[in-house]
Amino acid sequence: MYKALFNRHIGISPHSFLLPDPVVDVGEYGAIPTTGLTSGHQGCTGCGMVTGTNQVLRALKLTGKHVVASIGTGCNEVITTQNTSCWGDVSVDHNNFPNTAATLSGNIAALKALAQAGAVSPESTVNIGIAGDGGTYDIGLQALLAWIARGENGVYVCLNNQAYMNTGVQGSGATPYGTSTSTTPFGKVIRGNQRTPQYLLDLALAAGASYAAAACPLWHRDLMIKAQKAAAIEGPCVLEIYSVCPEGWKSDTDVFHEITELALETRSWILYEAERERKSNTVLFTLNYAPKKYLPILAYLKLQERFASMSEFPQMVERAQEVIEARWSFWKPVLEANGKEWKEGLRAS
Amino acid sequence: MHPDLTLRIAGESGEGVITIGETLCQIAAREGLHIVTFRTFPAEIKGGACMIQVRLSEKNISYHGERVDFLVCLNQEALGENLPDLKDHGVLLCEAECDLPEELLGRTVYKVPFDRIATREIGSRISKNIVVLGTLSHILSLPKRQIEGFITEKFARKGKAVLDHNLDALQRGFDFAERNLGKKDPYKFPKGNEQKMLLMTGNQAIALGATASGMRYFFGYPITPASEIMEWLAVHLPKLGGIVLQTEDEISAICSVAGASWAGGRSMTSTSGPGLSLMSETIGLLSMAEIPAVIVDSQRGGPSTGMPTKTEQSDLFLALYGSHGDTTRVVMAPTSVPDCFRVTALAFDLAEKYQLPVIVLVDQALSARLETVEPRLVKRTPSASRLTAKLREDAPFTRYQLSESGVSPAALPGTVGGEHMVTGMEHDEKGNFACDEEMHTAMTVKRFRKLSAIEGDPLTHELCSYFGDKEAEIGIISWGSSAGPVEEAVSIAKNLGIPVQAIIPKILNPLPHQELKAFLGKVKRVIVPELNFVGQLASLLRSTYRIPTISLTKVKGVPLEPTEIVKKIVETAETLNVRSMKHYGRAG
Repeated sequence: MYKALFNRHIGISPHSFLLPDPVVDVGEYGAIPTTGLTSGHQGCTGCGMVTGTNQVLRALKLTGKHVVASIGTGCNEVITTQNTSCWGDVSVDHNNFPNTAATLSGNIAALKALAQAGAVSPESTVNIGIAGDGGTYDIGLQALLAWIARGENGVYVCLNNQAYMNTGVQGSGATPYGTSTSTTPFGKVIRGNQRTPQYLLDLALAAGASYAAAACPLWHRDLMIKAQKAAAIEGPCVLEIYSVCPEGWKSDTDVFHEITELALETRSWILYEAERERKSNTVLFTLNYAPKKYLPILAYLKLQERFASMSEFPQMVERAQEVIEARWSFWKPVLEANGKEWKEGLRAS
Repeated sequence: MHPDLTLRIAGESGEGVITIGETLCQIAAREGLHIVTFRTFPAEIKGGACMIQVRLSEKNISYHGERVDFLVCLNQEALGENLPDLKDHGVLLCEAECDLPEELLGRTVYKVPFDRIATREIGSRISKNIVVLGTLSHILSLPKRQIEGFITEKFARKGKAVLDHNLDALQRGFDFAERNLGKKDPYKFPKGNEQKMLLMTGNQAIALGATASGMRYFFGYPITPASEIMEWLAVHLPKLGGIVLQTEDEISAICSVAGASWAGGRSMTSTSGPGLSLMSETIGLLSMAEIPAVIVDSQRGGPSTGMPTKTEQSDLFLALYGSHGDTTRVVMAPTSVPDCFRVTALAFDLAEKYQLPVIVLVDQALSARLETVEPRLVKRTPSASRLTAKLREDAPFTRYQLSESGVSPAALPGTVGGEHMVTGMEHDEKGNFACDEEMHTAMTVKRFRKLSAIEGDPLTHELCSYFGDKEAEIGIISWGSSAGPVEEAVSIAKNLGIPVQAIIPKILNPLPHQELKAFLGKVKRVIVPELNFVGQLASLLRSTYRIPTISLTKVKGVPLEPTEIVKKIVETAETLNVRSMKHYGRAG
């Protein structure tokens, strides 16, 4: 087991104690060079995944490295393969559903071989794997954990939209409690999804990841700094991106901003990062954002029709709130150190 | 006057094209008409061209129709793409903004400003499809009251405002047609016998057939085009006390089936080609450990991720041979929606009776096909069960007893005196690991004896469909959803004066040797139409019966068309007098 330490400071920083220099801060969004997934893809209006991927690629572009991506089957593959030029100057390797991380391993091995042969310089290339939550939490988990355990240099990006959107909104291992999906319908006998999601970044850290971070496209500076850190830090790095999906969440296409803000204010999505110092096997946890005022989960549920039925059952809303509080309690030491009031058990509505 | 009518509605995904088609189907089903539909899905997640074709008939039909009598196009792109399929005397109903090409000469055209009515008069662009329905109901004299009923059923949940909007849209579409469009075409909705029919998709029929056969444990993983089976069961199985579990991948799904089935429950999974590939190892285990299981594979364009929303019949080899070693399994292939019900239900009986995996092969076109089913056809109870051991105190239980039929009596895990181990290792009668020469041979023979028993079992009799002239020299052997176009082609050929007979085996492993041998004895040429590149059934027939076959294959992601088969029939007829079948040479 690793030793957990907490960074007292809450916020975004281009510094990492694993890196000698800070990463390139992104500055103004418009000044960032464009690259893959800027145009020509077939993502739906309001898709968070496209923006998230685009931001990762832009951040890596800033570092001047060539990106080699292995992508798994899913929305990300479907919307970018009808016109592959939408990937810009990124080299892409599409493999089967379970195999994103395994393919990433192959790419990394190839890079090593090419570097030995003097064909490429290893410093000039960054290997990334991109998959959805279904391809990560469910079918791709074995490959991901094995890849992390092998300690290879690379970045794994999980675009988490909390269900299988490509095949028609079936529940996944990342689907929140109470969600109505086509395989977890809200009925009289069983009310929506009865499971609570597992925590991907916890699994990644337990398997030995060097760097694990949760981000969202709304906070683009944070996301891009994290992508750059992940590319610079040695060893396997995992980035999980909150991806709004109007189609699957049955939300309006123009509330991308509102939904993400509510996710952060209700702490349904927590922005944080964890860096591992290998020698002492210490993991330093940094909370990147703590809302000033906690909103009850109901506020978040209301904007999305996938939670409509659940919202009518106070006990279920209460349970969802409990899950959030339990997760948030992890950050108690940091919050207390910052003089923030620690409140036990926020009411759900 | 027109007992048979084929309509196609084409537009952009999200425009409500499918709703129009489905409403027409619902009306027809209540009228007691027979319906077969075909729909295409866009590869995009949102948007992209899509269409639904509905064929209505007073008689029983098995094919969705090649060219259409009545085409409805909601935009210019749809018009360009679908116009070639409109019959010479067909009718076109399209958006008023569309530019009409010259080849429309001689056909009836109705132009209606659907977009303008929906956006300006109603103020809701998405109600366009309901305007179309209103117009259609006037042109085809559909029962408007019934359509109102369907709309109320569909939109009542969304509140009064939405419902009123849609009812208004229906009325405006109807009024526009009444005021501006004189009836210029002869087409009318066929009249049914008013015996109400059930309307379901192939996937729903599979789920229903499984449920009727006592299946209560479903394990699956989302995959197009099979997901609908799991989704339907997720809604309905819990009401019957059953369980639907979505696993983390297909390997888990099939292994969970193995676990539940060993414990005595009728269990199944459904998937598509990529999933069946992952399940292959466990299919070997089920065969070795002699555990019943039903696996439904809704085939799609392959290999790999391939064309998930398109149809193909290219998993036959995988279903027959997938997995290492000499494995036993049954492979079945229904041809229509009612057949999906019957064959799936039967699959459970065979799996239980013979304690082996049964693979049911359907394809995207059949999975998504809406078809009418006579209510009497969906009544069924299990007609076979697992052979249960009579446990005795004086003799130990032997799970893999070398019996004459190959079927060994089973005991439920946890039964006193029936404790045993099922295993994927080669074993002796008690289940102990055995790798001596005699035992591996004896057990392999035992497992394969079950396949011979299945062939002779009355349960598998009448699993072949026959069409055409029993004396014909040209024969067609096909499988799965290609049966519909074959049936159609046989009757077209008959009108051309070429007698043809066809046989469609619905069980492909073990093959119905008696029926196929009798058929092959009668014909001089064998055409094998199927939706794959290498001619998988043709290859199976050639290797099994050492006969030359004429393969007709297609890999376009869409079903075979009767004219394609007729063309092959005509070509073949020309060779009939030239050489005998023996010298016909290699097929393909």
